[in-house]
Amino acid sequence: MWFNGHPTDCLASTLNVSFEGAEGESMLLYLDLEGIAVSTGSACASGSLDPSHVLMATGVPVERAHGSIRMSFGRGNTMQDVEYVLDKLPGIINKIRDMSTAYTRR
Amino acid sequence: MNPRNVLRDDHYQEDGRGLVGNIQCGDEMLVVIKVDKEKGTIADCKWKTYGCASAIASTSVMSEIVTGMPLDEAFEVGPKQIAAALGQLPDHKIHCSVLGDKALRAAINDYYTRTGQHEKVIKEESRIICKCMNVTDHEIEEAVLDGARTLLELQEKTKMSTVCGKCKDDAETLLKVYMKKHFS
Repeated sequence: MWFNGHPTDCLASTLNVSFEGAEGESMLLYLDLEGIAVSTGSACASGSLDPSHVLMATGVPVERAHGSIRMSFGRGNTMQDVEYVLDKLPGIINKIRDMSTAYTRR
Repeated sequence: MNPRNVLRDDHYQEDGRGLVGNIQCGDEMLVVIKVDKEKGTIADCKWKTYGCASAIASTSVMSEIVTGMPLDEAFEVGPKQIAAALGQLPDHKIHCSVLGDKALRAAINDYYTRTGQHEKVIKEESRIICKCMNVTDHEIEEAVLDGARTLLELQEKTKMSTVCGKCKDDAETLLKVYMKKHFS
């Protein structure tokens, strides 16, 4: 798993991460089924299948950019929501990695 | 979302294997098959896919379609049939379903090669249409599947017909051919 972005000069309310062997849209849809809304890019680029040009410009390799998701917090989010995501996310990532050509079990 | 026939066995004894696409492009698919040698049919088809939900769903439904099918019939399964079995895909997602059957054809060809039936291997040869930018008919087909509907969009996607312009007529013709093939 990789953190995408500047370690300190970044917004506290948004998080962009990539998971090895998992593609962004498949993560988004599985999370959506659990009631968790994330994005794979900015709203203005949602029609595009290309990896984020912003991530690419910051030097993120293309395969990592394809597998990135962004989680943003709003004023309505609570610590409970965070716990809920942390509870659901590992299972989803495992499921996607399990059928991915890009992940080797260690 | 419960994809079927995912390859989970590290020691799967396949008769044919096909791997297409790559992770840099956003989709990669691996298809392995077991062949019933007496009947000449696909006895089992398993897969792995790195890609979006449409890509995963396409490979899953394709594996279901071709299991039990004669090899020559399975070779003909195309994106149209896969999309229909899925209850259709949005236009800009059609290209996701192209890789699944391409991987299957690679697996069938691999089986023919492994069993010494070289005369049955069908090569998917491509023809260069735009000589300046080295763009093939396959790339034009991919661009159409990816949403190109006009010559301008085709030029944007493939960079074809942007130098000498001699292939413009061919481009327009192929555009119509592939539109008819995939979207009519």
